[in-house]
Amino acid sequence: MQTTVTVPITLTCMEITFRREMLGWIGATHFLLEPIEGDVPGMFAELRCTDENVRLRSGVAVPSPRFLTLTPWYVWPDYQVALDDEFADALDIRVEEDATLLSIVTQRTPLERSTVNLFSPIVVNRHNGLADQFVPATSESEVGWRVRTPLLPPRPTDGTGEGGIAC
Amino acid sequence: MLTLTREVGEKIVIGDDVVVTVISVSENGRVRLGIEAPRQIRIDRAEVLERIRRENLEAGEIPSDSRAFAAYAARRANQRSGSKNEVVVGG
Repeated sequence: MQTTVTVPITLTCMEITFRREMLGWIGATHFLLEPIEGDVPGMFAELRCTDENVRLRSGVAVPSPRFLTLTPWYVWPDYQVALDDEFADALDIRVEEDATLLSIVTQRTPLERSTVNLFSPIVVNRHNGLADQFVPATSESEVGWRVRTPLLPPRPTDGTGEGGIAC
Repeated sequence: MLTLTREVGEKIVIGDDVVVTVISVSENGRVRLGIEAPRQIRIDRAEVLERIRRENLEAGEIPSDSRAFAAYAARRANQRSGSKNEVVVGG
């Protein structure tokens, strides 16, 4: 039996503890999730690591790595993830309302190259803050959601003057 | 690297509590494995894990003003439909 997560939960500022370090970031297990206020409050949030001594596999230390995350339903209303029982149990997720999903955004230049990881979202138990990055047992094509899903539509070329930002 | 030869149905034991069983081998060379291991041990296909690891690393190198990016992205997304629940972007 699986837990299928299909509903968005309103994000609140919370402390998050990964049950194992975030892939790629050695020693990164404690984070602070801060929703970003704006045109669509809760659509994006910043996930900031609060651990000291976080480092890369090369040994290079990285102080306070942080990530931009997206609540996927704001952009993909039909988004859903089927968590296997072992993964859900490890986070003490019993029903889908227990879970909050965060998709990690990779910002690139130009901004239209920015992508969202819809394949392996961060799953958070919103009651106790326990989290893990879900890795489906099947491939991207089987799941239907990709690691690098374009976030923004192509920049308009009709001369309407799309305003950009400096990053 | 240790190399072992196993047949379908045979097992390999790793340490005290990891057991790998050869479930099947198809004609095109695909091998299906069953793995019993404690919950805290991560078991994933290596290339998938590496792809996610690389993406996580790149995602952590965010510009200083990610909030401006978020505002811009939200605005762009909303321009498509005017409703946050009907937005479709990335196509």
